[in-house]
Amino acid sequence: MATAISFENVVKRYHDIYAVNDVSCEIEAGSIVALLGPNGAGKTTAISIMLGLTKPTSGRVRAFGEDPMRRAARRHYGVMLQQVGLPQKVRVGELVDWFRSFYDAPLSTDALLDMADLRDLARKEAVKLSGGQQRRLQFAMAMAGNPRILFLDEPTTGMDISSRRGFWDYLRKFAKERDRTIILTTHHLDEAETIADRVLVMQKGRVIADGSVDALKRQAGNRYVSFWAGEVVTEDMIAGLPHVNEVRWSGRHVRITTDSPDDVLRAVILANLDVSGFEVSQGQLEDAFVSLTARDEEEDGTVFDGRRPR
Amino acid sequence: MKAWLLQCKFEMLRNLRNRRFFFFSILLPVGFYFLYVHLVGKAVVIDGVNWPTYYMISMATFGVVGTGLNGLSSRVAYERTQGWVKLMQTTPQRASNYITTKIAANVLLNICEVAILFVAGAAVEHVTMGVGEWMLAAITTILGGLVFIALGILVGHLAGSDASQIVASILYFLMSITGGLWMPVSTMPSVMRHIANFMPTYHLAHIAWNVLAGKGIAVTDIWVLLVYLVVFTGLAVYLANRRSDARVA
Repeated sequence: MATAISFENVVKRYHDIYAVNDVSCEIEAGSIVALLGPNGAGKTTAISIMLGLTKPTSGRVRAFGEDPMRRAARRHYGVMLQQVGLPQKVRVGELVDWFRSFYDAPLSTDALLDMADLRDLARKEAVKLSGGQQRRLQFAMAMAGNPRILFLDEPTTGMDISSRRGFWDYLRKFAKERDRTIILTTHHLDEAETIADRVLVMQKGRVIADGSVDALKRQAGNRYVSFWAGEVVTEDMIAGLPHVNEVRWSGRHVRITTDSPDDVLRAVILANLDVSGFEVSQGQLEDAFVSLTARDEEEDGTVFDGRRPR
Repeated sequence: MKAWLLQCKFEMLRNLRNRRFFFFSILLPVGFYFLYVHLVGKAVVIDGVNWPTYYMISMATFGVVGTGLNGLSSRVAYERTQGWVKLMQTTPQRASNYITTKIAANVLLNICEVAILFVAGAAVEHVTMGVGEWMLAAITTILGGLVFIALGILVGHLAGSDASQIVASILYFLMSITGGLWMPVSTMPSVMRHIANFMPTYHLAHIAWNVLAGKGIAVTDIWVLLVYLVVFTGLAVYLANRRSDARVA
């Protein structure tokens, strides 16, 4: 697989604060990557560096082998930034055409307007659209050049639920085409969970976790099977089950923490234990996220305060 | 090139759809022109030029100053502070297109604006000049407008979008009045004449006034305008570069 974006020991320092601190990673063409992290973790700076808006203090960044500070790399880009005020006195259709003019082989104006569901509003002044409509227009602008890589910084802010669903459905279709890459940041972890095939968790300028949604949940260890145990069930019977990491009894209620809830459940049923009221959780990305960032905080919170130790 | 022209067209349209533009660049200068030609009287001669001709130059200059300052400053400030410039930088177009299309659109507007004033002078107030004089007056006014385009962009880089609108309006009126565009400097007290000597507005109109009085082009006027153009442009470029790597939090 070709590499879409590569970071080699990238550092971005503002005075003595490290917004991005020695990050190395590669993003494969054709993947959907979610960049997560608490506010101030360095996500936006990392995206700015990929976009060629910010020059890294040191390290090397490449987009399809080219320096994103150069125009050539940006031919492949489609970008949706946070909080962009659209220019006044320009109509929806005109803005779309304006962006189409930047690219050699743009998508058609009609296709872009349909994609954003804005065809009926093409002659309306862009700044007079509602917040959600403006986001959709910005998406159409990002898609104008039929990009190979799409950057989405908090793309669904301001969209209502149905627009949001339509937006992700569309993105899934877009990503299915060969070698289309999506890099997104979002506060809605459920969105990241449903669409991303890789998650990078950033904190204090570093990548503290990198893997599939599934791997992250496993790493965070918040998967469990719980049930009500009958009178005849003993503690030994539960402890003898496979893949059991930890068992918590609350009266007759049992909660088993495990890497593999499926195997635990299967074993309980095959052993024909007298239990009822199963509850199975494969873990929530949100829990994984909280425990990962909290764990990192505990490990070096006192030493590493967004600054390098002197 | 196609992209550049299209962007130029949008910048033009944005001005034409803006009521402020019509008011400050067309209505106000044309209205003032008719009003003061009649209040002062057509027979009056100022510095060797008859009043309807003299004031036509004044008001054409006044309009050009307004287009540069009012049209550009708040728009540049808004687009700079609201992330638009940043978004444009992520596209593959040349970084310079952003500002060159704005300048080109404003020059085109200046041409329209000067043409309207000159037609008003010729058709309504019967201003007569030789073809060469008409051309020279038009060209100097339009090119001199670049100084105020540069100033408009500079103000847009100095202040936020609300503040820059106010600063631009203040500069617009202050420079026009002290530059003798509303009332001829020769009718003002001597201290005002001294101040006018430092105003790009005065020197811009003075080129055409001088030519029409048969005195030829004064080199000082050209120099003063060039210095202003270089200073405004230099400051704007400096500010634009200094901010380009500011923290993107």
